[in-house]
Amino acid sequence: MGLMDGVDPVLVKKIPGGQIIISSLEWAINTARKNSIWTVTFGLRCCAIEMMAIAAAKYDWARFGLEVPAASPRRADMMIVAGTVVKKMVPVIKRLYEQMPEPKYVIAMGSCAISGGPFKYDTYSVVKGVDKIIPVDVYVPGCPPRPEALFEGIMKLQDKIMKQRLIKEAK
Amino acid sequence: MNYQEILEKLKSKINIIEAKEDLGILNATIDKKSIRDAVIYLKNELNFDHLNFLTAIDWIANLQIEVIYRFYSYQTKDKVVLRVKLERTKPEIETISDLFKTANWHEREVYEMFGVKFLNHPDLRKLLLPDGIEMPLRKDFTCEDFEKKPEF
Amino acid sequence: MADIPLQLEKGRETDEYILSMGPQHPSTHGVLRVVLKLDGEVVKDAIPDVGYIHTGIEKLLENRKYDQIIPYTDRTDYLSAVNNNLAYCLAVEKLLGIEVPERAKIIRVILAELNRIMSHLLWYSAYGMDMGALTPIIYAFREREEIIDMMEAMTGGRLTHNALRIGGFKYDLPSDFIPKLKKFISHFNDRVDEYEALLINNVIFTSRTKGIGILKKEIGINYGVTGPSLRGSDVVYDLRKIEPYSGYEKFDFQVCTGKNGDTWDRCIVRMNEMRESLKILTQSIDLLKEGEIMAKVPKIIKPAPGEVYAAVEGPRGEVGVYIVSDGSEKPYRIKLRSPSFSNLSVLKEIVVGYKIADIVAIMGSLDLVIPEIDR
Repeated sequence: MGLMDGVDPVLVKKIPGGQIIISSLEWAINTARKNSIWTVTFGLRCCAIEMMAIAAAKYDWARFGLEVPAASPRRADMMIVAGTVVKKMVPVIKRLYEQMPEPKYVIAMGSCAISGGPFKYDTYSVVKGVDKIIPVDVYVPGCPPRPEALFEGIMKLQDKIMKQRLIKEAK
Repeated sequence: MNYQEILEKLKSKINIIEAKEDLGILNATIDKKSIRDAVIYLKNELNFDHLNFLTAIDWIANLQIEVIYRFYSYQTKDKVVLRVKLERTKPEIETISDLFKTANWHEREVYEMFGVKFLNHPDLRKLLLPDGIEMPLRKDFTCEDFEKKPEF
Repeated sequence: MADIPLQLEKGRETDEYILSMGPQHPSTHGVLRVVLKLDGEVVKDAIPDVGYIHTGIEKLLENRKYDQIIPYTDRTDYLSAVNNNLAYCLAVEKLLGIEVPERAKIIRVILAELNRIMSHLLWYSAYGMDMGALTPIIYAFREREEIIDMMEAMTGGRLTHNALRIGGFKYDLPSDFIPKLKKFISHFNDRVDEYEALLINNVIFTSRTKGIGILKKEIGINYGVTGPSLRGSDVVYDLRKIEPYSGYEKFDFQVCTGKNGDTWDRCIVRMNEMRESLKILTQSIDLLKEGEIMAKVPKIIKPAPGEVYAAVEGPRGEVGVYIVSDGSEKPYRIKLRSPSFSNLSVLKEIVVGYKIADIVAIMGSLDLVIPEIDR
C-alpha cells in the first residue's frame, strides 16, 4: 500500500539448494504475470503475417514469455488486434473481449486498428479505430509494423504491468 | 476465330443492338430479353466455358445501369464481352446461375451493390454488406460517417 | 465410405445439428465463417458466410488518382503483392498505349517469381500448422526471411511492397541483388526436397489427404476455379503460357498438373511450382541486360475514355483488374477479380460426405486469402 513501493528484491541468505530473497508481493506477482502472457490469435489482415513472422525463428517472441498462442479467449490474457475492424465484426470483437478473464490487455497493432489506416476516408463500413469499441493499452504504429516495433510495444506493456497495484488506495 | 467471325455467328442467332471492337475483343450490346439464348448459344455451340467476371456500371448521366459479362474459351482461346443496358429505376434481368455456377456469387454481389434484381435466382440475398447499408456503389450513395478525402 | 448405423436403439432417432465454425478460428486463415450442418460427424452441408473484412475498396478507388491506387492493390492479397501491382499496371499501360522497356520487364518477372515462392512457403507453413505439425513453420520462415531481405533492399517493404510504377520502375536494382539471388538459388532446390520429405510424404499427412476432397474437372471449370486448385484436376490452364505478359514468352518452364484432383495432388502441384519458379529465376539472370527502366509517361495520367481488362497468373489463380475510364484523372469504375472468390464458392461440392476433421484439410488446400474475397 505504498510502503514497499518500487522496492527491488533483497538477497538475504544463500543456502545449499536455493536462495532466500525478500521483496514485495506486488513485485513477485507482477513479474510472474509479465513474463508469461498468453495471447488470443486474432489476426485479421496483413498485420497477421507479421505476427506469424515474429513467432518464427528469426525474431522469436518466446524469449519474452509469449510461448503459447491460446486459441480460445477463455484462458488468454492478451489480445493483439492486427488488422482492419469492420462494422460486421463489431459484435464478435465485443463478445471475445468479454470472454477473457481479468486482468486483460489489448494491443492495437498497425494503423488500421489505431485509426482506420488507409481506409479512413471514402468508406462506408470501416470502424475508425478499435478503441471505439474496447479499451486499448498500447498502440503500435506502422503499416505493417516491423517485428522490432512490435517487440517495443510488448516491452512497454510489460512496464505497464509492473506498475500494477494489488490493492487500491482507499478514497 | 477473330472477332468478325464471332460477330457473324452471334448475329445469326440473336438480335445485336450495337457491336464494337475494343483492343481486339468483341463488345456486343444485346437486349435484356435475349441474354439467356445468347449465353446458351455461346456455351454449347461456341465452347465458351469460363466466365471471367460479371459486374455492373452505374451511368448516372444516362440513367442506366449496364451489366457486363466476359467469357473465355479454354479450347479455342477466344474472348467475348456481352453488355446489357437496364433502366436505373427498376433494373431486372434473368439469371444465368444454372448455366455457369460461378455466376451465383457474382450476381449476389451485383444485387447488393447496385440493386439489380436477378429473376429466378436460387438464393438472392446479401453476401458482403452489413445491415443498414443499401446499394453503396451507386453514384448517389451517402451515409452518416462517410468522409470524403480532403484535397490538397 | 462404410455405412455407420446412426440409429442406436429402436425408437431412438438422431437429429441434424448446426455448428458455426466462427470468424475467430485458428484454421480459417482469416475471418471466414462456415456454417456446417452435421449428422454426427458427417458433413451434410457447408455454407460460407463472408463479409467480416469488407472495407469497400471499389468505392474508395473512385476517388483516388491513377498512381495513388498502387498501394491499395497490394493490400487486397497481401501475400502476393507484386502480382496484384502487376495486374493493375498492365491494365493502365494498355489503356495509355505505353510499351515498357525490356530490362523493366525482366525485373518484373524476377520480383513476381520471388513473390510466388514466398506465398507458397507461407501456404506450406500454415497448412502444416492446421494439420498439427509445428515444425514446418519454423523451417519455411527461415527461407522467407532470406527472400524478404532481397525484396526489402529493392522495394523498401517487407510485406506490402508497392514495387511497381506505371511504365517501369523508379530506381534500378541495388548492386548486391544479383549475388544474393545466385546464393539463394544455389541452395533452395535441396531445401524444397527436404520440405517435401518432411511434410508432404509423411505417412500421417498422406493418409489424411489422399482420396479426400476430389474436385472433378467439369465442376471446377463451371465454378470458375483457377490456379493450382484447378491444375490439380488435370487441366492445363496457366496464364503465363496461354497469354504471356511482361516477357514470359522468353522463358522455358512447364505447367505442373496433378492426376486425380484430390487434396494431395493440389499440394504436389504447389511444391512443383516452387521448383519451376526457381528455373525461371535462373534463366532470368542471363536474360538481364543493361538498359532503361522507365518508359515515357506523362506527368498527369489522364487516359482516353475506354475500358480494359488485364489478368495475370497469381499464386492462387487468375488475378484481374477491369478499369472503366471517362477521361478524367480518377477512374470511373474499377473491378478487382480475385481468384479466392470463385475458389471458395466450390466448397459445398467437395466437402459434403466427409468428416469434420477433413474440412480443415480441404479448406487449407484451396489456399484462400479472405481479404481478397471481401475486398
